[in-house]
Amino acid sequence: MERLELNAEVREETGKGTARRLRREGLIPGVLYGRERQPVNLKLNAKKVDKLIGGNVILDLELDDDTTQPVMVKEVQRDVIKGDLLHIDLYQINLDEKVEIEVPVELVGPAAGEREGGILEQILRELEVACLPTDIPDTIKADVTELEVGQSLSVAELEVSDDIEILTDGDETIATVVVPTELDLEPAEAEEEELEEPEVIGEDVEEDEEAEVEEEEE
Amino acid sequence: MLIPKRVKHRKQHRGRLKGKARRGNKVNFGEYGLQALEPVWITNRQIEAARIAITRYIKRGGKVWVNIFPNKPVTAKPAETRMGSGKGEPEKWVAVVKPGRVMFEISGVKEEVAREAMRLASHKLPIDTKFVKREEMDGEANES
Repeated sequence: MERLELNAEVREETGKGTARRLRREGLIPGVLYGRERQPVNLKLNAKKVDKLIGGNVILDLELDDDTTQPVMVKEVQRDVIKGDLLHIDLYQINLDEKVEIEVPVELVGPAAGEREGGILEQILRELEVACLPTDIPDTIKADVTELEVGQSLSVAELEVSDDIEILTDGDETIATVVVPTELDLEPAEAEEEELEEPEVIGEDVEEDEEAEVEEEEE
Repeated sequence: MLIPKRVKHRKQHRGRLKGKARRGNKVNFGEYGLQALEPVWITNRQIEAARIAITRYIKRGGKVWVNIFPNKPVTAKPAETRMGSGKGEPEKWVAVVKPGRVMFEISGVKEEVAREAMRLASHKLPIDTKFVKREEMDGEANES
């Protein structure tokens, strides 16, 4: 498990105006919290953070009061189009305590069914596991070489080291080999009819009620 | 052509297209996606044309997801009609798409194939789009 260093300053001011000003200056707002500490607002260098995060890394966070604590990235907010960092949540961890965390699944293939024209489809991309922070694997490898067309690999079939406890339900499917989609070039419902209208919910009921009222009036 | 099976009301207000896509802005099913960069109404015909363009290019192999659905009726008055006399009749169905929305996804093909398929599909759409990859959406900034 990698250990990287990150510097941050405590941030007193809050609000969207401050956050926007920080972003213009190349910083990002953040927050640090944990089970045994009060939350504290931070400001961090956006470029440095962007280089360090990615995957499950333990960061040694050095604050401006010269304290250092092990933290993990809990949540990252990004601009949906540009991908720029907007905000980061850091979680202070205890290195002797187990953490629950999501680890990416890496498929080891190619699957037997792929040679017969099937397509290997990965359904589950991350597994929730519980382990000590120092034991967190970069990826969990899932061997799919024996999967034929129509077969699938479930979480229960995975082999992981004893230090790691998988929390994801064992029945969940990780990967399956499917038959490729047929070439469907015809527009769905190709009949060139006038635009057919969908059924309007409640319209029939109203008509029935109206009919009933008319009958009663008669 | 995509159209809802049942609706609660035949006609809708136009609404406004403000802001960015808060949901559906990540590649969730496949490996690669086509992301909208502008707000727009996309008609069911455009969706169908783009889907066919993708399917035709990747031939057999690969899997395609269409993440948008045209659930909004758009009405129009007949030509040469005087104003008034109520709202026009439903003419087409559109999907409301905001910037950031991942509209189509592909998996099971190489990146070059996915990129070309999405390029062809983007020509069927009335907006600027961007090719996005799953791993890049969580990591470094996406390419243009």
